[in-house]
Amino acid sequence: MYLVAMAVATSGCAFIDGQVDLVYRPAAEKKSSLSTIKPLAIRVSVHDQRETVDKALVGNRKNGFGAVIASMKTDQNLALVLRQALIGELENNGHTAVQDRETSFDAMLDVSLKKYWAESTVRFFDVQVLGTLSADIRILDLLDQQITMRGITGTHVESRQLAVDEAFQDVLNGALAEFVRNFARDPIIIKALRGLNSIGVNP
Amino acid sequence: MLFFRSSVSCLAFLSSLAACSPTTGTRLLADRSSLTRFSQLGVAVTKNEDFSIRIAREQEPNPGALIVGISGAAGGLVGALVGTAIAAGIDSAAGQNADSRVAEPFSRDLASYDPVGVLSEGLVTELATEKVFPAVTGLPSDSIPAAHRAGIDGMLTVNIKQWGLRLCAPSANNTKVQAGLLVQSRIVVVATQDILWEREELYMDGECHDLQQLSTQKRSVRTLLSNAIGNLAGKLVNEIRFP
Repeated sequence: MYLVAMAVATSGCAFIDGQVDLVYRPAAEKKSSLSTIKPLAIRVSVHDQRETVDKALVGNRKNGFGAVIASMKTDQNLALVLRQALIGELENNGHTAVQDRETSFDAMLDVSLKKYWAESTVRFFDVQVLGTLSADIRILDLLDQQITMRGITGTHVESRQLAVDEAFQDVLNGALAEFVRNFARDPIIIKALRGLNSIGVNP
Repeated sequence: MLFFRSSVSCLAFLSSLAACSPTTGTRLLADRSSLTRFSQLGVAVTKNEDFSIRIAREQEPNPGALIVGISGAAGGLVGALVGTAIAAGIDSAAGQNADSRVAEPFSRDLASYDPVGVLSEGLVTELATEKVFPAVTGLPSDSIPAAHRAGIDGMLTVNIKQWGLRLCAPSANNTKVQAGLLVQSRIVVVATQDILWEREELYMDGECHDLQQLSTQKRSVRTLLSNAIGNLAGKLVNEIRFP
């Protein structure tokens, strides 16, 4: 009887769409390579360019045969989630995020979100849940000249015995954290921002 | 009493199913001062595999695996579990074969390409430029006794688990690829062999390219890989400076 109850409890939820809550929490004491650059005033603009028609969709739960059995969704605006994460990291490292309406700034990050997705794969002994966040980041100066463009990807993989909603939420938040980490330590992005600094456009 | 015991067993079982182990990211955290305390750092890079392309393995499962899986499922609960496992195995093997066929012409051209040497040189140069350690030496192997004999007190070991081209955004019809490396990095205290810091990451770099176009410009694949490995070296040094 317990086995039947357990089977119902563990399999029933697998077919119901899940809801995830996405958030980035920068640790105040953790600095990144961004802290090696003289403080800049940076405008951050994020555009959601994911190919998914349903913008609430952020993942699929699949069964062992590769068929999608449930979707993972979020009520949040992903462009806003990513923007807040990047601003959090910049401010944590001594930079200032300026509002969209501001016309005075040192650099602009023009971010195109290409993918924010989690998927489960049933393997022999476990279920692997992979979260990926990919975006193109253009760095522009005050004159709207492109300084550099980089594709940044953050991935996070977890091995689970059961891919519950929490697993999808964890890998999506993990991918967001890795994306921000990769952005803040990317040698080309750091060099580009440092170059802007040396021009002396900081107000 | 029996109900209580059974309930506890069920809860324990369900908890074990929900347990997780992250397989990427910074697995072992350390602060900056403990990582950069060494007077002479040895850098050893190794690799597990040759060049690979991962397209089929990241796309949809193949129909053959699905049929085997469904046949297994017809056998009841045990059949479903075995069928699922076999389907996953077949799918993985079929994807690997398809990817190997696509990678073959690239592999021939990259036979003399040495990602270990490129990454090792990149790391030594970046670490020296950023002055993270007083002295940095490239090592031919990750042998700790050999490093000890050479007077090295700390060792950065980087194992390239996979390197090659990967799908930019996995979907059924997309074959655009970019350079990708799966690497495991560690900093080890040579005297005690303690691992101070450990990180595993899938590093994707550069723009997405059409695989067909790359197949006609094979030299550009070398450039793509070398740029990616150079950027990875800079990124790893930044990871050590800001763990």
